[in-house]
Amino acid sequence: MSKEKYLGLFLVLPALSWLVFINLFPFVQTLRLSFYQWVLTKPWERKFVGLNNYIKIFLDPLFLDSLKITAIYVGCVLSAELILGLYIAVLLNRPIFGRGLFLTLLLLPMVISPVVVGLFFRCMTSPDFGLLNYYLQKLGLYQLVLSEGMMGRASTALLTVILMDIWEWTPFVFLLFLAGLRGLPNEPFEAAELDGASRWQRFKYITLPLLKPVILVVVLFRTMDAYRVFDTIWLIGKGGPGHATSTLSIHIYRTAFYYWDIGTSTAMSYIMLIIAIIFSVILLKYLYETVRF
Amino acid sequence: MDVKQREFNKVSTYIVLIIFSLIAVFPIYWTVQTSFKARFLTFAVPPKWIFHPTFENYYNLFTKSDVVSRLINSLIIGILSTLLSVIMGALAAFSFARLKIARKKDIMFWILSTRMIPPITTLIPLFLFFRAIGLYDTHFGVIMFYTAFNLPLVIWVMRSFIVEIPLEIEECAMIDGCSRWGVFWKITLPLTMPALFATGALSFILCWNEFMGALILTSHNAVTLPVLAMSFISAKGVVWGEMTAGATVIIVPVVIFVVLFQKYLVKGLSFGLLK
Repeated sequence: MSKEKYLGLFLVLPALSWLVFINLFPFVQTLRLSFYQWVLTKPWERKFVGLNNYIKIFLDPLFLDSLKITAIYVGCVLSAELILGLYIAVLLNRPIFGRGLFLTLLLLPMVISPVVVGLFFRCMTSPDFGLLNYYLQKLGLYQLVLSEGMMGRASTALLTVILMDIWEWTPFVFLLFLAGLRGLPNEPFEAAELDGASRWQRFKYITLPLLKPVILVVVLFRTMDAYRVFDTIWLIGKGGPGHATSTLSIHIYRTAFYYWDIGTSTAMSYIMLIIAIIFSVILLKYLYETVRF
Repeated sequence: MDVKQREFNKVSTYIVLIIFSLIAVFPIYWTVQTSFKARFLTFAVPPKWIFHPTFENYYNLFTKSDVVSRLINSLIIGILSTLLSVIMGALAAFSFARLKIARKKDIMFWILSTRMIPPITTLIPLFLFFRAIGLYDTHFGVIMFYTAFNLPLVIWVMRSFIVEIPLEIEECAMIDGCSRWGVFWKITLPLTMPALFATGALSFILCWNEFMGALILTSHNAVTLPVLAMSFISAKGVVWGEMTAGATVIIVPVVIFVVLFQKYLVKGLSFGLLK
């Protein structure tokens, strides 16, 4: 029925055109702008420079540093959250009283605005008024803190920011794992228990393999989100001290909206995009092969 | 496993969960608590845990800062974006789930892929573009961005729900003379109401909490609460009392919502994302 075909297209058109306008069009624009040298404060100097911007950014130590920082951030955050999230999900999957209450409390970090999370951690780690400093001192861990606070030193700043992400997003991970665990069939476990398998053996040889699709989905989502982190890190210290916590998004934002360098920032964001696409394609392909859609 | 072992497991489970819950809740509790502290108490070291609450921070916040107008902005932008994305998204999801469209799989993959784009990539040219056509610092501009931001999620989750509805119900209705559109209105929509509600709520929360887009696309008029929160950190130093009061205002609606609808959220999120 041709009428049905038209209805289908008609219903999809608003959503599609909206997305094309906001996403595809700027996408193309970013590429175009990256071929120009253009600083908003010096518009008379704008000119076409081809691939110059790209060459420039790969020679820029700050950009390379941001790549490194982002890689470390994503790697640490992902591994920690996977392990912690799985652990919490296993715990919550057991028959316990007050599961609803625990769930509500444990879900809160992820629904709190990242702005508030960043602000809170900024307060916590403040050298003058932060609670963290005070209690660390009391515990005799003053070396960790000294007078600048945890965000005052490059070495501890990245760690602080990673901890912040773990606090904020582990709920997301355990939520998905919990749903995954609930969906697992009982028979394999009962059979294994009859055969004398220990708890750990059951976990390692049955639970984990069966959870593979869920793990992949979690890895996909968390990687994409951790890769583009901005809000929390910006609020806890604007990517400081110095360049220590300047992930890609932060560095690009600063280049575009503090230095007003459109050419360089669009080139950087395009590279960021390409990396994201490559990773997503690899992960999605793996996901499609593992799970029958 | 003997009884003692089982008991130990149970107790340790509870202890660990309690510890984790405390860690999860503490920051929120601390932020809210600080907002009720008088100024001199905020800086007290060692920190005081028991004190007389005061509303002076909230009073200052609501009278001396722009919180009210920013609150209204956040509400308007959040509600309108959510409505737009839910309506357009539900229609599109129905199409993808039930109707024939040319190259459906490719389009759907492309829609999901938009979620992979780092927002900063879109925002730089969008900023320039909005400035050029006068949408910069307008409510509508931000709404446009947020709607596009939420659409992929709405479409993806709603499609999963609609696909789960047994075809027989729809086929029966069509045999009885119902059109495709009628099916959508009278069967699909009512059946997916809970999912629609959960997705809409999630979209609203995402809009309410969003920061980078609002930061880049606004300056005076359409500023939302999260951006305002940042402005409390100024060169003069941090205004702790008002800041935590502002932060509390930002998190209160979301916390209330989660407490009330925790069950639905859990179901909706996990179902939508895992399928």
